[in-house]
Formats: sequence, C-alpha cells, structure tokens
Amino acid sequence: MAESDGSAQDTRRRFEQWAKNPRCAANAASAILNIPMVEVARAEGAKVPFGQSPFALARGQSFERAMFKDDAAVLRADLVAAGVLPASARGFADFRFKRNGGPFAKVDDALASTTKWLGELASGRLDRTLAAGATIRIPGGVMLPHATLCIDATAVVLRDGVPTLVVGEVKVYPDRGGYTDETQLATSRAQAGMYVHGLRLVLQEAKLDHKVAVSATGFLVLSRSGSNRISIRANEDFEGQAERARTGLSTLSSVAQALKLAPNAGLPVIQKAEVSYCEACVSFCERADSCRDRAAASGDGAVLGDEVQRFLGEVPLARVRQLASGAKPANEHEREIVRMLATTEGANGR
Amino acid sequence: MAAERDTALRLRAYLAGGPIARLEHRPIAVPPAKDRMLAAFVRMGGESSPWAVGWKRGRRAIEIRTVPEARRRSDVAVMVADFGDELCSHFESAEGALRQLWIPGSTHAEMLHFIALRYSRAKKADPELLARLNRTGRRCGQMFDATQNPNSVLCIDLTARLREMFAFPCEPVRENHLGHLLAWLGPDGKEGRAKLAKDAEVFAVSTSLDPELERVLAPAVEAWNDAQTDAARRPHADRIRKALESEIRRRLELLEAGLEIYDDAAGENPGAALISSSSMQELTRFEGSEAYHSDGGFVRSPETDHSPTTAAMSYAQKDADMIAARAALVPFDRACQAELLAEGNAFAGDVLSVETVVIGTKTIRKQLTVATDGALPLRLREQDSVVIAGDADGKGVWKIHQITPDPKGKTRTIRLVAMQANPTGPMPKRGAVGVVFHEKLDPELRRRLARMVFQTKELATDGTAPGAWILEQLAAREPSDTAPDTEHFDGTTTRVVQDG
Amino acid sequence: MADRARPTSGKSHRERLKTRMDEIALDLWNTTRKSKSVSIVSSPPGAGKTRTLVAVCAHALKARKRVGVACQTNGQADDVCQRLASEIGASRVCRFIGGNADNTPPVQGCHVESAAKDIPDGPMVIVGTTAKWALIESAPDIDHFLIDEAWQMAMASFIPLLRFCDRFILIGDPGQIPPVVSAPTERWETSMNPPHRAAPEVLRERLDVHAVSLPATWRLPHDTANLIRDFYDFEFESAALVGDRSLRFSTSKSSTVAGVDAALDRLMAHSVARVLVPMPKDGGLAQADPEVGAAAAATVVRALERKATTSATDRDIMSKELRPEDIGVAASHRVMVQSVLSHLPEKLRSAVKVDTAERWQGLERKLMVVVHPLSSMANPGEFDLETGRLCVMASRHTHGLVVVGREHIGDTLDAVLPVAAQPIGRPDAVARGLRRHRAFWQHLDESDRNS
Repeated sequence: MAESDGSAQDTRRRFEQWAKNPRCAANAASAILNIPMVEVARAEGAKVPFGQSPFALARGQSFERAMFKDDAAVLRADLVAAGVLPASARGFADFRFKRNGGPFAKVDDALASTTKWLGELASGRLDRTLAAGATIRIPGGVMLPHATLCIDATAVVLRDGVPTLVVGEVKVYPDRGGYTDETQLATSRAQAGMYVHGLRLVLQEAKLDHKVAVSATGFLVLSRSGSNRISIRANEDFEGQAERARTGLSTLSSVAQALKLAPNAGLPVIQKAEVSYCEACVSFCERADSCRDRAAASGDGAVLGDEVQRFLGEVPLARVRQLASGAKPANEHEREIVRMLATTEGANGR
Repeated sequence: MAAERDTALRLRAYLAGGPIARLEHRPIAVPPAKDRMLAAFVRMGGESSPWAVGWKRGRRAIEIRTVPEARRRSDVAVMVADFGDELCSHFESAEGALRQLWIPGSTHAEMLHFIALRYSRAKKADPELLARLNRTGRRCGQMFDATQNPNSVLCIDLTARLREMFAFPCEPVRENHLGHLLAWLGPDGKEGRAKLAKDAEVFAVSTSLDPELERVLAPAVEAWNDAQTDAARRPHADRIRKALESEIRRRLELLEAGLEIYDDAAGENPGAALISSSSMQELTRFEGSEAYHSDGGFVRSPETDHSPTTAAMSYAQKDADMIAARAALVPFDRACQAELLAEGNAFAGDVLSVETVVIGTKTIRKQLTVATDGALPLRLREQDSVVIAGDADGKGVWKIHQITPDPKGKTRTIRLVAMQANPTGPMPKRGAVGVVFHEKLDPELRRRLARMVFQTKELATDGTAPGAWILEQLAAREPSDTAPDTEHFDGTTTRVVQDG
Repeated sequence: MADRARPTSGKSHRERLKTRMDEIALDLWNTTRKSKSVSIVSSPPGAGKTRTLVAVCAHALKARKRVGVACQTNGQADDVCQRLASEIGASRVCRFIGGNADNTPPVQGCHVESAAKDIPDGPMVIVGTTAKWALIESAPDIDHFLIDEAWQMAMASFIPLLRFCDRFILIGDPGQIPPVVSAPTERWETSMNPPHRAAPEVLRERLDVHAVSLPATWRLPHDTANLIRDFYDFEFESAALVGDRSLRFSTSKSSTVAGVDAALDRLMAHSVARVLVPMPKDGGLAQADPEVGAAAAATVVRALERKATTSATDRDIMSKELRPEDIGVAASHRVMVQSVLSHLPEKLRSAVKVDTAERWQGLERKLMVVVHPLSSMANPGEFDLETGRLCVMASRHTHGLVVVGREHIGDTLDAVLPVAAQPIGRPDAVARGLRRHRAFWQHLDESDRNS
C-alpha cells in the first residue's frame, strides 16, 4: 500500500501501467519517460476525472494503522490463527514512515533499519518475526531508476532451520470468498510478486540469500464486509507473479533501449508514438477514448473487444462490411469471416 | 455463450449500427408494477456497506435512507434494517404472486452480498435490531444467490439481463454500465446513439460515487464528525443527504426506465413460467426454513459450504438449476437453440429418411437419418440422448446411434433411434430441413445426485454408510465459524486525510 | 537414413517395470485388504491404468471378494469388462447398466444387469459408470471399490459412493484435460471440500491417502516421456528405450512446404519434431490460419508419400507400413480442425482422424501431427495457456510427434505477463501453465539445435 518516495511509487506503477498493454508504444513511452498519460490526455484537451476517493485513501490508512497498533497485536493473532506464524513467534519490527504511523521520517533510515533486520535474521536472531513496511531498494534498469519498495507486512518463519520471509499484501477490499473481485486479487498478487522478487534480489546482492530464504507463497490481508476486522488468506501463490516481475522488468528495460528515447523527451514523443487500443485501456488509460476513436476510424476490430480483434486480426471492419454485403473473399480467412456471419443471425434475422 | 457466436453477433450489431437481439423472447417473467421492488445503493469509497439506499415498491414513491457518516456502523445498521424490513415485507406479502427485486447492476448485487456477509450471522446488537438485521442479511443473501441463478427470477440484475437479451456494438467491458446500454437501446438514430452511449458513461451507475463528488462531500462529513450538538450537525447532514439522495434517485430512475425498455423488448418465453414457478417454490422453502428464522441455530454461510455433503448437494442443485432453466427456455426460442448449436450440444440437419427398424431380436423403433453440416462443432457422441427442438416436455428422446463423416468433410450423417416405441414430441417427415436436435436437458439427474448425497449424509449419521469414516475425516478439519461479528456496531470514525 | 543401435537391456528394463507394476498392484491390494483406506494412483499417459485396475481385481477375486468398478463413460466401462474378462474370465464380470440401456454383453459370457438384486452372488467384479453408481438407491454388496479415470470425476459424484463401501482405489491421469464444469463455482472456491474439483485432488489434500504413481509410459517413446514430464508432479520413465521405436522414410524429396521433410527426417532419430511456419507476409495473425492447417495436412501427406514404416522392438513389431489409419491430427480449436481437413486430400479424410484435443483423450496413433495451441495467437489467454490440451495432444503417439506452428510462439511465450486472477487460495494455474508451455517450447528449440 504506502510507499516511500516518488521514484519507488513510480517504478512499480510505471511497470504495471506498461504491463496492462505492452503492445502500445505510446503506453511504453509514457511508462519509460515517467510522463503520466493523464498529462498527455489533458494536453490534448480531454476532460479527465482525477484522483481517488479521499475516503478510500483514509480507509486504507486507518485499516493499516489499526492492524499494526500495539506492536501489530491484531495482525499477529490472526496470522497465528491462519497458520502463517507459529504461536511462539515474537517481536515486531516497524519500518513504516511517520505519515503512516511508523517511526521513520527518511527513506534512508527505513532502508538501513530494514537491512539491519535482515542481517539479524541471517545471523539467526529471530526476535522480530513480524515486520511492517520493510523497505528495500532494488537496482533499476537502463531507463528506470532504482525502485524502493515498502512491503506491507512480512512474517518470518523457520523452514528446515532457515529463516524464511513470507510476504503479505494488505488491501482494504472485502473478502467474499470465491466471489472476491478477481481484478483486485490480480493486482494484489502482482504487487506481492514484485516484493518477493525484490527481496530475492536484495538478499542476493547482500550475499544473504543462502542464510535467509523468501517463500514463494505468502498471504493476503483483506477486510471483512462492513467491519473493521481483517481477514487473512494464507498460502497464496506468488511465485508466478515474482517471475512476472523479474521477466517483465527486464523486458521493459529492453523495450526502453529499443525505443531509444532521449531521457528528457517530453510529451510530444508520446503523442507521436503509435497507439494500440485494446479493451484493457478502458480501465487504466486516460487517453482510452481518443485511442478508441482512432481505432474506430481505422476499422480496428478492437473497438468491439479483444475476442473480435483476435478473430479478425488485420482485417478491418470496413472489409467485414464489404464481405457482409457480398464482396468476394480474397483468402480462406475472409471465407471464414463470411461463413461465420452467414451462419450466425441475431434472433430477429439481423 | 460460445465465444465464436458472441463475436459474430457483436459484428452483426456493428454492421446494423446498433444492438441486435440475442434472444427471440424475454427469458423471464416481469410481473406487474405492484409486484416489483426496485433498489439501489451507494457507498462511501473504501467501505463495503451502504452510505445510502433507495427503493421503490410498486407504484409508491421512491424512499431513500442515508446516513451522514458511513463509517458509524450502528447508524448504518439501522438504515440497513429499515431497508430489510421493506424488502422482507415485499416478499412476505406476496400472497402467491411472483414478486421480484430489481437492481441496476452487478455492484448492487455485490452490495446485497456484503449485507449478507455482515448481518446474516451477526450476534451483537440490541435484540430487536439484531433480529431485523439477521433477517435482512439472510434475505439479501437469498437475493444475491438469485442473481447468480438462471433458474431464479426473484432478484433481477437489469444490466446482466440486457446483456443476455442484446448484442451491443461495443467492447464487453462497456456493457457493465447500465446508462451506456440504455443509450444504445434508445430511439435516436445510430450516430446519435453511439455518442449518447459514450456520454452516458460520465454518470456513475455503480454503487461507487464519483471521486469528485466525494471530494465535495468530505468537508461536510468532517464537519459533521466535529460538530458537538445536533443543531450543529444538522446542516452538514442535510447537505450530505441531498447529495446522496440525488445519486440514488438517478440510479433508480435509470433502473425504472431500463426495466420498461426490457419489458417491451420482446414477448415472454412461454418457458419462463416454469422458472417463475420454481422461484416461488424456492421462496416458500426459504421463508419456511430455519435458516431464515433461526435464533442461534444453523445459518447458511453467505460465503461457502465447508461440509462435504452440503457443498455437494448445493452444487448438484445449482447444476440442476442451470439445466432446468435451459430446458424451460430452449424449446421456445430459436436463438437459444442456436446457442446450443454454437456450443456443439445440438445439430441441425435435413431428414434423409424415417424408417422402422428392429433392434436386437424384437424391439421395434423409429430411426431417423439426418444430414448435417460437417463444419459445425459437435460435442455430442454416439449413445448420447437428444430431443427435437420444440419438444417442451423433453420426453421424445432419441439416441444417437451412428455418426458418419462424409469423406469430403462437408457433411456428416447421423442416425438416431427413438428410445420409445411410440415417440412423443415432434416427428419430422422425410425431407424436413433444418430440424434441430439438442442434448436432452434433464435436471432430474442432477437433482437425484443431490438426493443421493443427502441419503449418504443420513446414512453416515445413522452409522450405516460404510464410507462414513471418510465424511468424518473430511468434516473434521473445517475451520471454526469465521463470522466477523466480534465487534459491536459502534465503529470508529476516521478523519479523512485530504491529499494536497 | 539413420541406423540406430539395437539396445540390449530393453527386455530387462521392461521386465523390471512389469515387476514394479505387479508390486504396485499387490501393494494396493494389501492396503485395501487390510483396512478402510483411500488409495490414489497417479498415472502418466499410456502407463497401464487399466492393467493395474485389472490386476487389483484379480487379487480381490482370488480372495473371494466382490469389487465395484466405476468408469466415467459407457465406452470405458465396456473396455474394462473386456480386459477383465480376458484376465479373470467373463463369468466373474458383471456389466451394471442403466435402466434403458442396451443389454448386449460387452464380451461373451459376461453378466449384464440393471438391478442390484439381480447381480449374481459370490466373487464378482461389477462394472458400471460413475453416474450409475452415484444415482442408484441400493447397491449390490461390495467389498472394495475402484474408480477408473478418477480425475474426470468431481467430488460431488464421489460422495454417494460412500454409501456402498469403505475402501477405495482411485486411478487416473492428472495431466488430462479437466472435465468441463458448467455451473458457476464461486460459492465453493474457498470451501474445504470443493464439490466441483476432481475427487483425487480433494481427497489428497484433505485425507491421509495412500498415494502411488505408475512408473512408466508404455505408449510413448523415451524422448517424448522427457518432453511431457514437466506436465506432471511425479517422475516416470518410458518403457521404450532409445532405438526401440522407429519411423523410417524413403529418401527425402523437397517438399512444397518448408520444413516438412526436415521434420520427418528428424523423426528417424527422435520421436519429436517441429515444423515452423514463417510469419505471414502481412504480419497479422488470426485464429483461422489456413497456412498452418495446410502445413499440418502436408505433413500427413508427405509421411504417406515417403512410404513410412514403423518398428517397435519393445512390442516385437518390425517394419510395418504406416497407413493413413495410423496417423492422427490434433488441434485445440475446431476452426483449425476444419482447416486441416479442408487441406487433406479427400481420400484421406475418413481414414486420418482429425479432431480437437478433447476428442483424442484415451486414443493413440503411431504418428501424431499436432497444431500447437498457441500458434497464431498473438495474445494468448487463460484458456490457451491451460496445458491439459497440449499434454493430451503430445501424448497420443507411439512412434512420432510433429508439432506444427507459426514461428512466433517462442517470442509470444516470452512476452506473456500472466495475470493471477484465480480465486483465493487456489494455485496460480496460468503461471504454471506458462512455465510448462515455455519448457515444452524450449525443449523443442534445444532438440532442433542439437540435431
């Protein structure tokens, strides 16, 4: 949830922005140049609603504070009940920033303190087995700065005698069992995967990776509907998302190199870059409407959704109209389009 | 919905310049206004309980309840109980008529589930309020379950039903906005509708409020929290109430307008009466159950079933409901049949011959030979049972005896043998074209499975099921009751930290 | 033409495996005989599931017990009856049928009954479908219960069987395509006992079961076993050793489809080859990809034109001509199936089975041509990344497998950033599928580089 400084927030946010539509060059340029697409949209005259719900932000903060109050008493009890921590686990390490209720005013202090804690674990001292806001810095790629990550919650358990970090992601959305919003779950797991990957890198860099392990499974901390209580879901599989973070960051770096963007390149570069509209754009990109208009003008099937685009491929909608009006198909793909339209009618013959 | 058919329909809608009907008939009954209740919610950002709720019963005026501070759990509880009283009364006063609750879309269904999760098994409150809240939670749970069940029409998610009824010339993600869909279905010409649909998206219809509005309301909420007297609180409460009422009203008015459009869109599928009937039976069962009235006894969890037998029974029943809904609607709607064709669970063909054959030594049966399009999908196999589309009772059963692809790959020949000596249902003549045969849709097998699971549970309890030890072990590790209710309803209020 | 050395230890290798399988069957019998228990047998493709089932039944009959067997389809139940009859005699086999079903015995001498009360007394193996067993009110007395293709059976269908027996053996292939679930399952995703999931999976998680796996695939050549091992979470080998299975073709001629002859040549030394179809000139990819369909069809045609012969020394089969009936083509999408059919010469269409992966389950051919599920997919989704289909398609052959697909597949796999939207507590199947897909493709890359 809360993170330390602009560059930290940026790198993770920018990675996730790019990952939502990696085929769009403009999206990639925006992520690499760290020029939010909302600025581009505004410069183009689009009316863009901004910001998040102030209540949602406050709720997130109060939720977290309640959980970590009194040396994380509530969180610890529920982690023990969920089987994440043993009943004998002790100690709490608070690396959060002051504005989140923690002790640290400066990023570097939180970083140093976390590094010290990791060292303690490596030396076998397990007197702080639950941490809030553990702060690490992972090396960046060519176009992206280093990323400072603040991990919502980290539990420490012994597995085969090795202190093992178990990452937890805290979210305010409610636990509805199998009905829990899958988009929210995917976002949470993506973040947790980034933390798992980050911890592994940091431990490797500090040459502590043979003394401290990072678990591929972790936990989610969600809210309970209409309540201030938390819900812990253990044994969440973060390995795939850690791998996603690893390969994705590497790919983004390669994309950055291939695009050969000057570091001080501005908005116009993004405006000139090719766009590739898809359904996902609607949920995250402030230029989605204008890109959709462009896609509609060029007859891109994406304006009817990803499945239609996948089926049509490079065949534009104008051509579909011609085929539907009796134009002779030029190849088997077009014959398939004609066949499909001919054998599928709407209910009233349309 | 088969993906390819959906793609084709979407393209057809695009070519037509507007929505086209997916179904010939409306698959659900829409009772008269007096038997309908409309409801909508809004919530504060970050919260999963209502900030305001509005409803309209029959032709009465809209009623709206709000709270100034959505994080004061006791106030929210009273509001929810008021809504619940109306909801329960709406169904309990039905006197045999089909009653329905209509909601704008999936986030409102989600809110019903939130209410169920929070209050179905709540234990701590003033006793009178607690009874009302428990009843509200359980009723909202039933309403939520109804939105997930095609064989129930007790609670209707209008956006979902419009999507079911029409193919729209837009991306699926936009079909979650009721205003967008209704704009497409409006009377304007196609150019006008596309623009109206896009413009409609500016106005939120979900339970979330526009963050801009919340930024406007945040100071009023802060001020209300800070005020020391009722008199000091009143102006802030009024300001919040007016804003929320406006939001609720807009959602309800859109819902009401959309309901009329949906009702007028097509005639009712004759099979919808069966679905209504099973909904009424389900309602009667629910209202007579311990789970609805219980004070401390077993209450079904809104989240899941952990017991292996309960889970298996309700899953089998859910499967039966899916099949029953299809069985009710398919005979009367060629578009539903087209859906089965697209899935490969049906085939359409030309009848090449109708013969009488001898099976075994003396069994005499009718045999059909049908030529079908070899390019279309076919999941049905030899020995599968099918019925002829239009056979509303589904009793004229044919068994697929042989499927022979033509070497050219363009056609396949299917031989079917009647299961009965004198088959009921439609009997096509030689030369009939485009006769549709589809999988036998029989929910009874799944219902029977549910009954056998129940029997297993009974025998295990009696100690006469040899495999009872397995059930005991499966049950032994269930989690303890995870109901959240160990806090009282007075929640803490938190100051909103305004970002700069 | 490659001339591979004849192995000398193949016979002893297979004898060892047969002994191991006999031990497994005996172990299963001993476990079920001694006490109430649940045993789960995981099997790779073509590993002798039915042989194991039949062997356990034979032990049971020797001990004068009655065994119930549940199969997932009528066809499978009939097959099991035939196998049982040849091992233990038809008079000890009873086919337990539905009320309206055809009462022709699947094998001469086998009993056929629809009512439990009519089943003869005494030691007997009673074979019916899961649907039959689950839905009857009363069952014949049985002492042990075996379930075939158990991963195709949901937990909800297993529970009613607990009325009849207290000891179960479930046998199946966990790598197959999971059964289609039509009802929405959100309500039970976080259940301790999810009714929609495969019974062996749930039982393995929730009980102390006796778990074994079959040691080897008898169908697949040795290098294919290596290829598909990543789809399973247990080890297995191939009963066929290097050189046991071979495909030989006449002298190669140039083919109008690039790479087809090279792939067939490769099959003379390995059991897996690949035909890569270059990207379309316009760069665009679409699901209905006629060039890939044509390439798959061309592979079939060339294999026959080059007068292929097959040998299987482990099965004592030498130099048999490859016929059209010995070849199969599999694809994940119906559109591709139609494309392949349209490119096959008419005379081959009825002889060469071309079908989707679902329809290939339980079948085998000497040579399989498979269109890679991700071919022509620029943006694969969850359905495409699910590996059951690929595993089924890649495990039907006894001699050779040719994988056909567009060149982009490796790059597409590299570019996938999987989304973990699975329900709470469930494993990340999309990421796991992606890992397996990548491993499969890398394996093909490495094999091409090393040849």
